Amino acid sequence: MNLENPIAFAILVVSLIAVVYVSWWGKKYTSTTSDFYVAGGKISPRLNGWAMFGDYCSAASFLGVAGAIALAGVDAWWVAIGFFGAWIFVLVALAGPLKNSGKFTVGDVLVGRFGGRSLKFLAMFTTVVIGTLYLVPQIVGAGHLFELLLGWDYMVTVFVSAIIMGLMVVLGGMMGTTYNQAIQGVILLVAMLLLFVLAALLYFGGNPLAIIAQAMNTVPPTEAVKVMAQVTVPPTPEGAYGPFVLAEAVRAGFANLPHALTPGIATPDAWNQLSLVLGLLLGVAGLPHILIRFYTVKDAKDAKKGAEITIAGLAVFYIAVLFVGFATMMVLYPALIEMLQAGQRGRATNMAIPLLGMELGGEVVLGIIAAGAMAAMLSTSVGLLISMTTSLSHDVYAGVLRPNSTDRERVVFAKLGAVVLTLIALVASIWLKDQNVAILVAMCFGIAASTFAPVLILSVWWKGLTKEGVIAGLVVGLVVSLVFTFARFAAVPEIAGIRVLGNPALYGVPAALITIIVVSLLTRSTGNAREFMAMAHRN
Amino acid sequence: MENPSPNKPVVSGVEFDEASFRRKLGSAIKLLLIFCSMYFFAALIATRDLKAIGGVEILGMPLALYTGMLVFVVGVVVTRMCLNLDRKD
Repeated sequence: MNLENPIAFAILVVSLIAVVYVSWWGKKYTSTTSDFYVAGGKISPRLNGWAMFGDYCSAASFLGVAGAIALAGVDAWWVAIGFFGAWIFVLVALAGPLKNSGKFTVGDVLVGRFGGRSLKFLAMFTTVVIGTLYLVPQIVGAGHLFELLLGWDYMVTVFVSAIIMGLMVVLGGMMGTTYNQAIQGVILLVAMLLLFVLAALLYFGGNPLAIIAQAMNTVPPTEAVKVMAQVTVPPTPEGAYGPFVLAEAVRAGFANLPHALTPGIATPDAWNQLSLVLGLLLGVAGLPHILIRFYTVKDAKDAKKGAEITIAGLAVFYIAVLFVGFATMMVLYPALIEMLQAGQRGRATNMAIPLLGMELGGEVVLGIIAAGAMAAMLSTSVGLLISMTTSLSHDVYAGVLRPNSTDRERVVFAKLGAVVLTLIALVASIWLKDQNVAILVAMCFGIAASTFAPVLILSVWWKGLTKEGVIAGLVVGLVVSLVFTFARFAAVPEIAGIRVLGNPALYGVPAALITIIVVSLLTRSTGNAREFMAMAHRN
Repeated sequence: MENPSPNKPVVSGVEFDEASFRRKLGSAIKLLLIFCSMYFFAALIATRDLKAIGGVEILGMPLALYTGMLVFVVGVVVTRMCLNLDRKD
């Protein structure tokens, strides 16, 4: 999408201008640190629910999952189910107590129970590690995506993306960010539903179930490409063939090949799958940019109400993703096969949805899809930056370095932090240009699930937890998850006889949990357990 | 009820209600057990090791697709149950 597609380009530019305007508008509501960090806790549950939806749905959800389903069939849907399941865990185990016991950051919860600067510093360090690692794939993904969409150089798209996201944080703080995330959440859902409706109307007689029926008769492109040399396509008068002609020819020639709904074709073995779904289930309970959103509302009940809206939105979105993925497979069958034959699997995954948009509604729909992809990337990135700068400013600057600093000084420090962290992520994004984005994201979920998730859950539910247990658990969880993650990067098959899996969670989570429990049973500093529990679980 | 110092434990002044806490803990465990059993069952039958189970056809569609859909349904139901329990409290 360059100036050959001026309408689509204009839609993207207008959406970007709107994003920056909303951030600038939010500035007038940002005078104190509380305003900057959590919008003064004045956000309504409905707005927060949509903001959490926009914050959570990154480009991986919007483009990656549907694109992967289009290539490999129903197995690729499992990541989306994991992304959804994580919210049930957060709602039931964490949302209410987290809101009741903290004020701005995850560190507040730990310090609220145990006190001490060391915990606050450790929480900040873990927040920045997870946040930066999560930010990098967003920028890398955005760089590649817009390189493909706009035809711009990777370096240019990466710089533009980073400047916009830094500007959004510096300009607006949490109020502007919340409205942007909520608007972007709506754009994401509308864009996905628009594709679903258009595909059903234009290609499947307006019957969504016909998409499923057709998928059951279609060999996934990843399987079909293996036998393409032996496929005979019947000649057509125009000299070209439609989408269903090729799919039907493959099926006619190879009745024994799996269809798009056959399970177990692209999923890993049971242990790898267990590790992946465990990491996804617990990962959100340790992602600081999601957890900070619970502090933007008035009380625990509003925090849960917001989560319910997010869960409902995610359920609709991820079910629509399945249908859109199947529709993409069938509508773009020849193009997907061609890209796979050319060895462009990554391009096929990322470009499937924009290509479907172009096919279904021309430039206008392509523009909406590009705006949706940009919305997905920006809302997640800005949420990450806000959570990291809040932790830096509140936990370290105000909590350790300068406890007597003024509100203004803390906000300035947070904004400087946003600039510095954006630059660090930008440099890392250039360095990690060729890394697999999905691996980077999965690594973040695995690390979050092995560090903050067990510590936070036990902090609010177990009176016997001790400060030493928290510190030991955080350190062990971080080390184990990082070791197994980097072992996977280095293609090391096993460590000390233990098999390296695709996600570190199956080792990191039990290691952290066992360490926390054993150390807590051996030590005594349970902090202000009863008072903290009373506050965390008050009605 | 706010933390008076950023580096010290909270002093809430709220009485700890052991019975209420145990009730909430029990409810949370039950809700998570309901959801997690569905979630992990659906995840595991979709693997290549257990695809014989996931691939069993019911009304023309594989079991794994039904269980995947059911995760969303159970998730939404558990969400409502969780909020209803809050309302009772």
